[in-house]
Amino acid sequence: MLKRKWATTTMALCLAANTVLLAACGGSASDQQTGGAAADTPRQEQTGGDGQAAASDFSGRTIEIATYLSGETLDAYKKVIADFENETGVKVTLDEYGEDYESTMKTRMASNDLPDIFETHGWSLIRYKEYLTDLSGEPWAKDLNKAALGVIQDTDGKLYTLMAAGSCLGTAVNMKVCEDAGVDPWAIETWEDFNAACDKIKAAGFTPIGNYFTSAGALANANGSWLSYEGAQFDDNEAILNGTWDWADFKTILDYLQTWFDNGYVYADCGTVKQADLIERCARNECAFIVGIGTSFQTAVLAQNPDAKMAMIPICASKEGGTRFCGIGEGAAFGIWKDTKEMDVCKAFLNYVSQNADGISIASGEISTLPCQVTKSYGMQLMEEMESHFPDVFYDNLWDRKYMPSGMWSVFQVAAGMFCEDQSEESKAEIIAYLQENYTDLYEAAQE
Amino acid sequence: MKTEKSGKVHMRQVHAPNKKVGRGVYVISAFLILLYLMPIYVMLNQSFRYLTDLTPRLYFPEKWTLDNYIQAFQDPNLLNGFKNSIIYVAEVCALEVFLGGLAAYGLARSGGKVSSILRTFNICVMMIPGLSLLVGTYSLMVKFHMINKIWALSLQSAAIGMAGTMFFYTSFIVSIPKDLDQAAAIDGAGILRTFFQIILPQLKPVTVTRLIMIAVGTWNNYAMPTYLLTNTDKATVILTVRKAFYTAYGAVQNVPLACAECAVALAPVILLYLLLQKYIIEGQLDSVSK
Amino acid sequence: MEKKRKWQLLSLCIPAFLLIVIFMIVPLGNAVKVSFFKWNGYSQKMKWIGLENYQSIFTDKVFRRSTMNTFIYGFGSTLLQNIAGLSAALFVNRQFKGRNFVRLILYMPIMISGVIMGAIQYYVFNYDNGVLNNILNLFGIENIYWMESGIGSVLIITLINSWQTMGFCMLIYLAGLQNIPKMYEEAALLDGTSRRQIFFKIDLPLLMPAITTAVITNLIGGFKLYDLIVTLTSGGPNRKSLSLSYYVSLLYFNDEKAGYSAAVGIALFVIIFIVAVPINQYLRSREVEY
Repeated sequence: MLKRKWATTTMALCLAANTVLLAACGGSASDQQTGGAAADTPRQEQTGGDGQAAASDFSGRTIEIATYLSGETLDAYKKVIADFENETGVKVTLDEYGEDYESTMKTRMASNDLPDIFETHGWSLIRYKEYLTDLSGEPWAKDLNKAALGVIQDTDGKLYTLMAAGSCLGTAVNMKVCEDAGVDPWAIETWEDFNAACDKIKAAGFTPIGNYFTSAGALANANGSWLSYEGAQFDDNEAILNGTWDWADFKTILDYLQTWFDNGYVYADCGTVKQADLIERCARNECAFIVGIGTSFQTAVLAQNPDAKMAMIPICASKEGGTRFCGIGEGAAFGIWKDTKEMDVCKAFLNYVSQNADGISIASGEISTLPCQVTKSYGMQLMEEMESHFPDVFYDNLWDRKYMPSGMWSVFQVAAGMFCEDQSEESKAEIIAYLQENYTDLYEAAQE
Repeated sequence: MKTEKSGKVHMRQVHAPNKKVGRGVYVISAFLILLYLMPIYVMLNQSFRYLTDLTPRLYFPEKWTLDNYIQAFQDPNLLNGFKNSIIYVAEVCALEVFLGGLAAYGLARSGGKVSSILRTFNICVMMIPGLSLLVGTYSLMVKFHMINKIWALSLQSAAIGMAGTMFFYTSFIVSIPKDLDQAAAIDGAGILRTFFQIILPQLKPVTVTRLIMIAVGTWNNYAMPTYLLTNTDKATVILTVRKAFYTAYGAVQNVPLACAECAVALAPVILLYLLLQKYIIEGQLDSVSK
Repeated sequence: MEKKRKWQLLSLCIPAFLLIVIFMIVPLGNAVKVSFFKWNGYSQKMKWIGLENYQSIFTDKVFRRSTMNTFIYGFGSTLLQNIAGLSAALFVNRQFKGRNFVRLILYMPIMISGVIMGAIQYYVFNYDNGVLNNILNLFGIENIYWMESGIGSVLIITLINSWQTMGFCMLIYLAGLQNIPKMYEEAALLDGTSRRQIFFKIDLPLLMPAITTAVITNLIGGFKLYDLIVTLTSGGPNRKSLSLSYYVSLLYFNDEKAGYSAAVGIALFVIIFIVAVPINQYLRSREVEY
């Protein structure tokens, strides 16, 4: 009997707590609304004015920022935001979307209700352009380095995003494994050399390649070395870009990737494994290479095993003397919604970020695109080490972002899954047909 | 009460040889408990680790740490998530029980063809997975600016669950003698008064069971909230914990921290379960045996 | 008078059915409309393509596979849960100390959300440094890749789902068992009937109502399975462990094929409907008994 009474009391307490919370929430929501409406009128006049001049009288204003960053990079970004809030009195609402960022942004585009500031993750020109503000007149625009401008500048010179850090995408190397297996990664030039190195590593009892086929990168990131660059086996750029490419040459790439499976270079579970597990395996010095991955990977490995020795080499050439390249992708890059009601605050915020971007690039292990103020990020160090061995590395925008229509990334992801499961000739034909069909569709959609 | 007890005593006598089975029973019990606590163990074990601890997950951590919990408790999103989840659950429970109960009363008592058709319709609706209507629901919610509104999600969830609640209540109300409300009607009571004074008190035990079922389902709901609550401010606990397990590009996935957040998020649920076990388990037993 | 009262009673259903119409029937209509278009889900441009989306369904391997999976998740977990639930009920129905505790633990996973369960179980079934493989390593067995070729994934998802929600079945059967008058068993035992015969001849027939309740609840749950898969396998490898619900959301938000996603949603709707009709008829016939 006593017990029942107790249980009833707890239930009653819970219910009471509910009502209190409900009441509290209802109150704050209505407060915000009235506050917002009152502050709306004077703001309209300020829009378009110089963002910097009004830096101190932003108190009471609110902006919404969406981010896909997570982990330490996010913490670094949050610190920048907090400092900005302290200095200007702006209240920032931060939406952390993580893995759901792309789909969430798509849905927000559909409802034409975008955050004031959001990350463009490589799509500032192709996908988000019509929703973004031109930023080429901003004070930081002239400080961006060439690698960054090459990726984010539109043909008419407009800029839609502040790229605070960039990813440099090459082949991640675990130096400890290579040493143990007697392999010199700096001597690898072509895919043939690469396979020879893999054989040695496998013989030494390690897994040579840690690529995972749950990501589109496995089929998309290295393609430039076969199809696009100087000295590559094929020169398909024109056809790829004008929508007439027939994908026949893609079979060579699949044929090559098949050797990874035939020779047992990859993990048995490469069709379901998550990146986090590969970071862990690399930190335990179990695998040697990951082809086509950004320097943030090495940074993450280091976080799990501070003694790990990692390096980066460019993506191999498809034949002797061919170009070896690294992809440069937008890392943390921030754009402003063109219909934002807080344009001056947003511009001031980006300006603030441009002066305090070091923390973000260091935490993500990506390369800096603005002049470094204090320390070099780990990614920058890896890149410089690589350049000391390969002074003539070719940098280009990420292959799929430059040559493929928007939307191909998830198509490549499905294709990677198909390929991982079955590398037979029929399967390859099916994959190529699948890629081509979607490529044609998406290309047409992009032309409309 | 008395008969039940004597029955048990009797049974023990009849099953006398079974008494020796004792040891086997405890071995099986221990195995079952291990099997069912395994994920909890995996979660807790990882939550006490450092990020750099790469030893097998089966064994205890190399070095124990509470850092992850300190970090998890400092995460304002988690607390906010609790608040949102409580609001969401309360709204759905209220909507489903009140509207569902009322409708079930109407359906059970009115009789005739219309009621019969509606009940058939109801059972069909009950089977539909909410996600099959994703495209339709989502574009509708976008059109009417119902994204990132907890009340809108509550209405949607209540609508999806309503058919089940109605079905549940209808079968109970049918078993309440009609004489009761006919007597009330003769006394001049309107249908609403009859419902609140005669039917509702009868439904009390069933309602507790149903409330628990709705609350658990709603608290754990994931699919629609992910698409309809995209703002971090509005995220439920489940969404917040899910985010901790993300491996977004350019991030170190902190599994130990994610597990600590998971543990913090699960603790109140498990605690409530243990406190209210009487209502949850006995209530379930009672509702089925009726 | 009688007629007026009848309509008054029926009017009580209006709010509940209004909610169902707004959030289920209108979206259904909307989805039917979208399914005739080629649309990426967010742009303002939609292209009319007639029945093309429906035609693609017939040649879509992933759709076929996901349909099969949905049936496995539905019927497979129903079967497993009922066998396990009945065994567990028979077990905890014995008289031994701590049986309430065992019952408590067996029911507990139902309280835990599918997404969280999937995220934790991922580390149990992981290939490299998964807890299950850690245990096998103790016995000198090499790591096993449990998710191999998709069949593994599907089976693991079915297993975990059955394991997690088995407690519900257990309670239903427990209630059923406790309702069986002990006299029957005693009489049979005195006649020298074996325990096994008692179970099949007496217990099982008397449990039939409980069995149907359990089967229907599990079927509905299994067909809707979504959140466990999201965190456990993400539908992998090669989209071979998707449920139709998950496929619908992937098509919409990942593949940017909203029109096709709507068509698959409608197909799911139709499939569930075909399965639901006989169940529905059965349920209606049962309702009359009261």
